[in-house]
This record gives sequence, C-alpha cells and structure tokens, in this order.
Amino acid sequence: MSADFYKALEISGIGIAGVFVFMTLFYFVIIGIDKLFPYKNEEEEK
Amino acid sequence: MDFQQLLPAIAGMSWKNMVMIAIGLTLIFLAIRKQYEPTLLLPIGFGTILVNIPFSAVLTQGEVLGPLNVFFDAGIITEVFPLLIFVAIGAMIDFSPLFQRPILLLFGAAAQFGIFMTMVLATLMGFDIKQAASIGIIGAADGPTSIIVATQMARDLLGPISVAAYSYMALVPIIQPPVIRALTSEKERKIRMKFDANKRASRTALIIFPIAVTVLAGLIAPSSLALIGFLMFGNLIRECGVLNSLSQTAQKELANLVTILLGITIASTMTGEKFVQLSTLMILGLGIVAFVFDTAGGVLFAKLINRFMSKDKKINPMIGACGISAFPMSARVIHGMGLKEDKHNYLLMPAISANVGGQIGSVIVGGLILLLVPLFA
Repeated sequence: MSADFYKALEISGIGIAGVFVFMTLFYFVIIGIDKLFPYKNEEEEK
Repeated sequence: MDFQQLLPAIAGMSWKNMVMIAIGLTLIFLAIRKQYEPTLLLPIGFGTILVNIPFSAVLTQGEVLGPLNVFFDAGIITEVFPLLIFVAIGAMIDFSPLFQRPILLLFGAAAQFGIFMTMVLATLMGFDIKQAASIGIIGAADGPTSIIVATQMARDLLGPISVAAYSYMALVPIIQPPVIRALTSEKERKIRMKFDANKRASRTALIIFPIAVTVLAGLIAPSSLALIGFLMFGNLIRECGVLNSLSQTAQKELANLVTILLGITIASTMTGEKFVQLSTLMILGLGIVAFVFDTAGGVLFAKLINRFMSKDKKINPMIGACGISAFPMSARVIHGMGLKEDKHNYLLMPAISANVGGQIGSVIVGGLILLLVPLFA
C-alpha cells in the first residue's frame, strides 16, 4: 500500500466526520431559526 | 509547396485527434438525442471538435493567443465561471423543504460517502493524493465543485473529471435504481413517510438561513467560503424579496451565459494528447464507483437510523439516495420508484428535502477536501 493510500484513508475519516458535523450544525440552525421566526398565517395574507 | 504546407490541419491530424472528434460528436449526440445535460455536454462536445483540429486558432499557437486559452485562464483558473454558476444555482434553490423535516439534511452528508471511497480506491490505482481527491469529488454530483477542486489539485485531469461529473449526473436514473433495489427489501421500499405539507418556513427564516450557514461554514472552514458563500449569496438574492429582478437574471441569463462559456472552455483541455490516455478510462470508471457508493451510503444510513425511529417515523431508505447533489433528478427518480412499488406512496417532498441537503453537503465536502488535502499532501 502506498503512502497516499493511508493519507486518503485519514482524509476520508476526517472528511466524513466533518461533513456530518457541518450538517448537524445546520440542522440545529434550522431548528433554531424556525423556533425564533415561525411561519405565521398573516404572511400569506400579506 | 508540399501537402503539409498547403493543408497543415489535414496533414497534422493524428489518430488521437480523430478519436477526440468522435468523442465530441458522441457528446453532441447524447446532448441532443438523449438530452443528457445538453447545456453542458453540447458546448463541451463542440469545443472538443474545435480543439482537435490541428493548428486550431481557438488555442494559443506560438505567440498568437487562442480565445479558449484566454477564457480558461480568466474563467477556470481564477474559478470565476464555476463560482458564478454557484450564484445562479443558489438563486434557483428553495431551502424551505428542509424546514419541514430538517433531519433529512443528514442524508446530504451520508450520500457523500462515495467521494471518499473513490478517493481511497484511486490511490490504490496509482493516482497521487491530489489527483485521487479530484477524482473522488466526481461523486459530489456537482459540476462546479468538481471543476473548482480539479482546477486547484489536478488541472491535467480537469477534462475527464468534468465530463464524468456532468455525464453521470445525467445518468442518475440509470445508476441509482439497481443499487437501491440491491440494498433494500420490497417492504422497506413501500414505507410511507408522513410529511406535513402545510408546515412552512417564514420569510425571515429563509433570509437568515443562507447568512447563518455562510458565517458558520466560514468560521469552521474558511476554505469552503468561496463555494458555500457564492451559493448562499445567490440564495439570499432569491429570498430577500427586494431583488426579484436580480434573482431572475441570476437564474436565467447569468446561468445561461456562464454555462455556455464554461462548457466550451472546459473543452480546451480535451485535446487528444491529454485525453486519450488510460487514466481517462480509469477516471470514467471511478466516477461510476463514486455515484454507486454515494447511493449506497445514503440508503444504508437511512436503514441505520430507522433502527432508532419509532414505527410511524420510519424513513423510506430510498430517500437516502437523494442525498446526492443531482437536483431535482435524484428526487424525481426516487419518487418514481416509490410510486412503482406502491402507487399511493408519494415520496416527492421528503425526496426533495434530502436532495436539497445533498446540494449543501456536496459543497461542504468540496470545501473540506480543499482544506484537508493540502495538509496531508
């Protein structure tokens, strides 16, 4: 196995964990924004 | 005066040039007859013909600058073209489906698995780490991200990577269904998902979302800011409600103009000498692997989280496959598959939510690759 193979494995591990961390953060951002600024029916009337 | 001086283009034509002209014609055929990503494959196909005629004036010859080389230096190397495309894509995306069931955003992470799997496989096939990362990013199913990563890390491979990225995006209806069927049971494919279509996001929430995502992504991984920032800028133009004219221009005129230039400029890298190589075939093969493992990653992740979900909240595992960025192609494919299994099972809304998550996920992975690979290379 080449050195690049082991580097790729390491990057993959960090990368997959990283993208899950980001998406989880964005998940909480959505929950938070939706709680703070919920949709109101008046918006539709406007 | 001999034949070479009289007709230098014919005299200088190599078999590699002829192969490339045939490839160009094939791309044009696929774009017109099969409608596979015609906005990109047609300019790439025509550009391929242009650059494979020996002594073509579209390429720099001696001291005379060729227009395609000028476009390449100004638009691809500087990343201006793909970033402008991101503004256009951002203006087209509606993030409101994510507010209906935000958990589906996580599929935008799971379905990026193929990128990393392919990167590892590419190193086993002899590519160095930068080339392997650029090949893996084909699995982002996101043309501009592939172009940006390949431009920074493996400029020589830009042609085949771009062609693979755009071609396989068009082939999602052929690539995804067999993988999904192999990994799911009929019972799983018939799972119905409750989706409250009446739940909506407020305008304020939709305005704050692109700003919050940009700031958060920038603080954690500044290298992702060009990608995510331009995408979210386009989205902010769309959602702010006071720039409707700009939003329409970004979605139509800007997208069309830059797409024309992007396609034909990428073709400048598709000369016979650079493209007709064993590595091109390997890249095209690895591109399919990336899409297959993306699909598998999303589906298996859905099956995993179903183990922790109550019976009425279970997720149809096919939705996991929508976590790739090919929007709305993937969502439509899964919706169609759901209807085939059960004609009253409407999966379109959750499929779109996961698909929008995939658009964010692919850009984030692009940023992470740009951040991580130089640290290890």
